[in-house]
Amino acid sequence: MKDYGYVEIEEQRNAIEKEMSSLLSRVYKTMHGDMGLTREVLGYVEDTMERLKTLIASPSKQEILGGEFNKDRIYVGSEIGKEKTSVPLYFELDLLMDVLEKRYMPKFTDKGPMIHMLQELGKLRDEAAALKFSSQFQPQEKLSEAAMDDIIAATGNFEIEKQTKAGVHFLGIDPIYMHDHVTYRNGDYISEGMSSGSLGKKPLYEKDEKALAEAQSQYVDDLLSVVGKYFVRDWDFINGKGKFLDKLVSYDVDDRIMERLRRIYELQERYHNLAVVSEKATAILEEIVAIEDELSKERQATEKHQKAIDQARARYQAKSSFWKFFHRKMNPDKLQMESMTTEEIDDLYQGRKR
Amino acid sequence: MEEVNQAFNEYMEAYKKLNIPEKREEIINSTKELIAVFEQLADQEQIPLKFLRSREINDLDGEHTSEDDFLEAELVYLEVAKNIIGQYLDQKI
Repeated sequence: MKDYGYVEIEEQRNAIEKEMSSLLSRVYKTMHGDMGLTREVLGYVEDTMERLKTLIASPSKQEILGGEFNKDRIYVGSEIGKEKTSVPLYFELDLLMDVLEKRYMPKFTDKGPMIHMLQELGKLRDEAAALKFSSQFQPQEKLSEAAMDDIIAATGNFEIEKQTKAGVHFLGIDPIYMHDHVTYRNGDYISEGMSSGSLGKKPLYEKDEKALAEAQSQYVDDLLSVVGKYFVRDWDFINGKGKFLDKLVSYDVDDRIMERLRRIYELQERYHNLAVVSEKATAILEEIVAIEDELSKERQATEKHQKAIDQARARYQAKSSFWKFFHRKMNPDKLQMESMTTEEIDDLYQGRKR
Repeated sequence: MEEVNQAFNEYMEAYKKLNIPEKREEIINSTKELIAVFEQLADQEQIPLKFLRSREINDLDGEHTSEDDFLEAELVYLEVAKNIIGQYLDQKI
């Protein structure tokens, strides 16, 4: 097998993965734990960030985080499963920030250190994202026969060989897809496309061109209407590529929807091919719409229940001794629950509805 | 008494249909009303009150208030209520 130069950067790549894995593990472990540990976690996160910064700034960062796609440097065979781009790091950082901001931040009275840390993590995440987004992958690049032979010889696995070939034919092309397919053939992303009968499935390129174009156009419309609500859009459909940059409009997004948005985003980052993404992401978009419908019904039910209890409360209070006394002896207009005492309590009461 | 009991049961029926965060809010608001009424009563009669303070109520401000957070905050409000009612009654009786 050819020396693709992979091994020389493997150590650093693994170091990043190990750091992030350990970091997330610690955060999750203490998330529901003793609040006394959170200070320790903060310090740990900051130490880890420093080490990550060093790793990212290393001369091989382009290699570690993705960099230019080079067909002579396709990582295959025994190295399958180890290829990483900035996407995992990017998402790990994004997830970490999300956890820290949404679940940790409210726990801290003094939010200063956490805000500072989130800012630093954001810079790190943006750096990883910028490296990735500036990469010029070539989705239409065909694998050479020699490269295919390398892959098949290296794997020595007939099942993988079949699926690898199918992957190439399926896309006509995308070595990234093929790599992912081989690596994750039993995973979520690939099983629907390849493992569960894709060899017998009608290849994409044989589909009616007009129908395919219409399907892709419909997908883009759906994506804009569904996902556009949650993200600031920055689209690039040049040469059949499509992606949205994940600048969240708001963190107030239902967890189930957020998880699906991440899946769509990952699909786009993995495949760089609108045809493939549209096939795989359409079902996810439909799931998001179904969840939105469910949430809408829940909101309607909540409004209905709230109206009912407001009316019932008013009827009860009109007859209760407590409130009769209050109205007889005191001026209801002067009831100032907000005036209780400290500024903290005042702040708390500002969100009060009634 | 029958009328108020019927109205109270209707209120409870409506309360049962709320989700957990709404039920928590109803309880917290009900306790706040108790505090506010006695605070105003004392104010009208120029009886100075001292309030208990605890940062535990700040946990209600988070997006995902846990059962722990709610119980701790509710205890604070109840004790605040008891404490000012005690001060008021001490001056009046």
